[in-house]
Amino acid sequence: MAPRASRSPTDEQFAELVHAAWPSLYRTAVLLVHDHALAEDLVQTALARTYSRWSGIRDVGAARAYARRALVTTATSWFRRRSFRGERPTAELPEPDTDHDPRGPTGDRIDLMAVLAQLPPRQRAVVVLRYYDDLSVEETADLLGVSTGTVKSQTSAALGNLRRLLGDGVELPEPTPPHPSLTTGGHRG
Amino acid sequence: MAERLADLLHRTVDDLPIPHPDTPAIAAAGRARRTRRRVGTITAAAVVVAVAGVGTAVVAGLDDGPTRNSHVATQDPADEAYAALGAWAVGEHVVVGDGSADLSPAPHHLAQTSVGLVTQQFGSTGGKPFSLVRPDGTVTPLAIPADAWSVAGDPRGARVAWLEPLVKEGRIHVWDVASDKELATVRVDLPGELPEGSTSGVREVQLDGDFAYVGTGRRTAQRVDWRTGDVKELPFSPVAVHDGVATSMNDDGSSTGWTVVDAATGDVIRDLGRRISTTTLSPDGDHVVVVRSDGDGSVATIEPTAGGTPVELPGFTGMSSWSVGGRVVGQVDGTSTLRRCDVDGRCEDAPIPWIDEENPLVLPADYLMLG
Repeated sequence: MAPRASRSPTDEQFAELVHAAWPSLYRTAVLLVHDHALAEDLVQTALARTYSRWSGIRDVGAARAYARRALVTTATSWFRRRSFRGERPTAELPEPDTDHDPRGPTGDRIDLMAVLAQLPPRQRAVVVLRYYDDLSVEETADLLGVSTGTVKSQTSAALGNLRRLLGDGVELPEPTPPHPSLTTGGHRG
Repeated sequence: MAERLADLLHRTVDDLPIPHPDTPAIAAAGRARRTRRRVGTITAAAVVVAVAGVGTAVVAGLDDGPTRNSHVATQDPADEAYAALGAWAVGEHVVVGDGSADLSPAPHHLAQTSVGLVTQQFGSTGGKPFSLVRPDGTVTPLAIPADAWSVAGDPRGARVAWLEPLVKEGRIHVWDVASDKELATVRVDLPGELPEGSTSGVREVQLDGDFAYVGTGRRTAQRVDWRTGDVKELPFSPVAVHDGVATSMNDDGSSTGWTVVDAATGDVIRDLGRRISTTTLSPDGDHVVVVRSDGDGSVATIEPTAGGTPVELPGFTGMSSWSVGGRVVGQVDGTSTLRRCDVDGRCEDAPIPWIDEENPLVLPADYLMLG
């Protein structure tokens, strides 16, 4: 169980958090943004956000989860801004470059980061959180601030796209079917 | 044997060299963020609404033909509200000034014109993805071809434009959204590597009065007088062009620099610097919203394009746009609050209906909704 503090954690505890969480946050960030320098900026920003709330934190264990949430939400906002930096995305995922071998020119290693970069941001996020960070549907939904149904539908779409992009070279998990929709015709985003 | 996705993800990054964290710098950035958040909260709570004036005066000062003048001359309250309040959407709900309309499916892109918002809906039925939503809330489907992948609006005219990419050339189409008729089609050379017939869309047109701008693959711009067909090549890569002023982005491979340039000559008016996430140019070209990344997240400021003191906009980190009357409109980060600010940084807040977990974001004008 995470230790609970009756008062604000100290700066020394923040330093411990940074050193403990930094490597895993950095790896997650690399998968999310496909750029090492950007990933480093992203983790720094997420941890700075965490520190800005430090005086209100009573559970050091929860701070790590807060930092991960800050990482994902910051990455999402970066995606949105970057989408307007001349990178006008299209309505649909472009057809995969079928001439491009995801294993690269040597044919031995799959360039997964290049493949992930072709996914829409939210699909990329659910793939990374669920299959790299090993979060449950519920945990992923909580982190992204969406419903579990959205996570399931985004996961299903992401795996479908990965199947097209990766071919038979990777064993993909079976997506969890989304719950039946209970809406009465309203738009589902 | 096929490799499991989880294993592949781990193999991709688990052996990466990890840079050393600069804990004191992170803590300092966190302290700065905390201070700024307090200041921003106080500012937002204390400011008084700055209404009308700015927007009306800006638009009234323009002189670009009957459509634009009619917008001002009628003094239609709906038009005035559109100029002052801006236009945005949440899911299927589209707001234009104080009018609103529901569109299904939800629009993915909103282009502002002087007479209302041109919406684009992916997957719409009937083959008409574009509609004009006027400030009184009326919706008129437009006959703009469905293969126009993205249109750019002119906030000072009743027009939109788009590029039809061909091989080594393209056609710029200009469409009058009030009469729903094409005004001009102009052929332009598009030297460079892309798009060569692609519809995946790496370029967009900027429409500014009689001129349309389209970037080439050589980081230059074609400035096209769509009324005469005259084409001039300019030495900059345009992001936005309003009233003869352009913002330009130049990526030298290591970082991206932004400048304000004279759209007619390419002369640099102002260097905005680097580490900039995005910029949005006001409809009169006099101000620009700049969102800078400082290692501690992002800060948005309004700055005169001719140079002057930046004014910080609390709560914005980029998802904002300008109303046609010259106010910045956007969703306060992570909230269901819409904030409108004038160029002096005076802001007013309003609750946003319809925000929920399925539609957590406001779609501002000129952004394309992802996913």
